[in-house]
Amino acid sequence: MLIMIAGMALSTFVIRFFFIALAGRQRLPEPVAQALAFSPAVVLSAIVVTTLSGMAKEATDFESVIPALLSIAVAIVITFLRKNLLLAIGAGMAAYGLLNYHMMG
Amino acid sequence: MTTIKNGQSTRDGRLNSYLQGAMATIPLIIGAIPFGIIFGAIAFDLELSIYTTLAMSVFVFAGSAQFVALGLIATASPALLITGTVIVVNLRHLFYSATLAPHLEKLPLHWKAVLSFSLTDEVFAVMSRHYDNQSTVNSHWYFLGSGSAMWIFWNISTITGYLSGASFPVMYDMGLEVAMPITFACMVVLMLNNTATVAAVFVSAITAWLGKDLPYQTGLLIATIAGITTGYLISKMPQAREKHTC
Repeated sequence: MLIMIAGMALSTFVIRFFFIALAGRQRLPEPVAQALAFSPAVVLSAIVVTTLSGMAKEATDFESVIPALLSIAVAIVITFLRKNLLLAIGAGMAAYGLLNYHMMG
Repeated sequence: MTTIKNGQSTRDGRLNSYLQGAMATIPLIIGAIPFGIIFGAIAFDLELSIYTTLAMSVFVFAGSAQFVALGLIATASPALLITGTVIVVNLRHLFYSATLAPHLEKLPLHWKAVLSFSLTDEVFAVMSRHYDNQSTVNSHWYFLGSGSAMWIFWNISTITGYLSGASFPVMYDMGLEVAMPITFACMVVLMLNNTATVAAVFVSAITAWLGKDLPYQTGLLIATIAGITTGYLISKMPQAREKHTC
């Protein structure tokens, strides 16, 4: 177990450190650097989709994923309108609670 | 903002940046807490010791990789396979490292190492936005604030989940894990400030959906590559360029 955790910790760190450690000595080719500018939005949206599909897989029917989808839609709309993350997340979670309660009842 | 004084960093400025970084991470911490709790609870279920469980959150500090590791421990996989799988699951962090590297160029190595250690999905989301909008001489303190806040709450939620292990199904039934996709989706919305990014996100989301059944989140990697390639190509189209210079 100790070896496993050490292996996980070390490999995770090396991956995260890799390009940062090289920074200053070696620059990425310009096209690569420009493409990487898209990585935050791209990775986060891919994580959202993957997480949701995971939830859908666990669920027995499509209906049970609807509250999650709708609450994300609510949060997205509020972020668009108000640019306030905490407010949007709060509203999204509240919507989720209400929808779940409604669908179970 | 009082973080810059004649381009020099002051003690107040550093503390300020540290706190701002921690504050900016709060929404993402909210999204991550349910996952920490569920992680702790599953570890309890698998009869891991509290030390082993906590050691993962303290030293590995990588949510999805920790979950995958639990799944493999449950099936009694060998340590080498678990490490190999963790590497594959974490490969997307190479993109994080490469994306932030230019901003960390001038820091001493120990700073680079500490900040790299804390480069989770959440901290990356916060820092890439920070460097886009409001980079200062104290940005590394902002990074440290973000990373340490995330790390502290990740560990607190892990312990909480482990200790409340027996009552955890209640939490799971409530579906609190939806907090993370909600938070990430909102972050993406804040980043959609040009056509190329919108297209990149669109392609990434579709690819992630198509690749959702691939093992060990390799779908995520393929989606990332497809997305950033799309974004790059569209930003190079003459039309998009004109828009940019306007």
